[in-house]
Amino acid sequence: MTLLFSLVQAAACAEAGAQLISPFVGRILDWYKANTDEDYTAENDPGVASVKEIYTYFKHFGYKTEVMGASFRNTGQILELAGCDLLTISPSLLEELQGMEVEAPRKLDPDAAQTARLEKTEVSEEAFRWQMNEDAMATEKLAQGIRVFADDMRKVRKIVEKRLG
Amino acid sequence: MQDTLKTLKQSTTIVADSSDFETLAAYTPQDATTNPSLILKALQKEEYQPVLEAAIASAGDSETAGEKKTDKIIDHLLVGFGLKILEIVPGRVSTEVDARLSLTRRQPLKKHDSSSRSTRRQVSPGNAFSLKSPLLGRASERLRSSRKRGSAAT
Repeated sequence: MTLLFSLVQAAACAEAGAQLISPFVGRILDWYKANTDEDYTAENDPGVASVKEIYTYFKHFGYKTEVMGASFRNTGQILELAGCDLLTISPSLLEELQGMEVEAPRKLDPDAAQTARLEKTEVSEEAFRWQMNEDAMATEKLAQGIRVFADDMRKVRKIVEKRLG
Repeated sequence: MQDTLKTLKQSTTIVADSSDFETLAAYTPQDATTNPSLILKALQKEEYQPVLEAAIASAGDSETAGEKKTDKIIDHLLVGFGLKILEIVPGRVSTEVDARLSLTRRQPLKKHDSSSRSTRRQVSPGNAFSLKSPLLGRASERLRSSRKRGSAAT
């Protein structure tokens, strides 16, 4: 499942037995930059924090759903999530990483997640909708993400229709 | 000293977020992901026209025309991009169910099943192809029943 911006989305996927989820990093940072006056670094990046939270939750409760961090704005965000099951990275950032010579120590660790103090998130439809509604960032970014993908698919259709004449 | 990408590969599976066949190979990722925006970007380039032509050919000269025919071609197109990418990456590739199905319960899984069938006919069993769908409420119950059937919707 894709376009994940919150723990409740991730928890619902895990409960449903999804194979893999793709929680976004960069788009979360974009929202916080646009809507707050804070300065963000790799250490206090809200997108990084979101993926860390989801990863820890999954490993702590033993969910098999794989976590694939996505939507990166810089290599700092990627390195903060070293150890995540998977990370999907654009060619330009892959190239940057290939040209770098810094260590990439594991930051996410399944063993460390075991000692975290966590409670299960309720994922009934009512709880899901309420949690999403409480989270302005997740609500707006999910809606926008779907709109953009739908719009791009319309453009793909136009290209196909034009070719068919 | 190893470059950072190599070090990172020791603890994390690296996936290329790209539909660009050319650049994919350079970073030897394990898997790849695509999405409608990446497919659109690729289609706007001359070198990807053969993928579109192949999709039109696969859709065949069936009697269906108009919207239905376009639907069919796009299904073949998305699978076609996935198959091309599977020639480059050793692991899995994902593409996305049309986002306009996001608010429906059954449509994304139906699309997943038909695309998986179409892909399985064309790839070796070791390769995996999965469809991603944006998550909204209520998708989960259908997903659960789909998992029981052994599907791999992501």
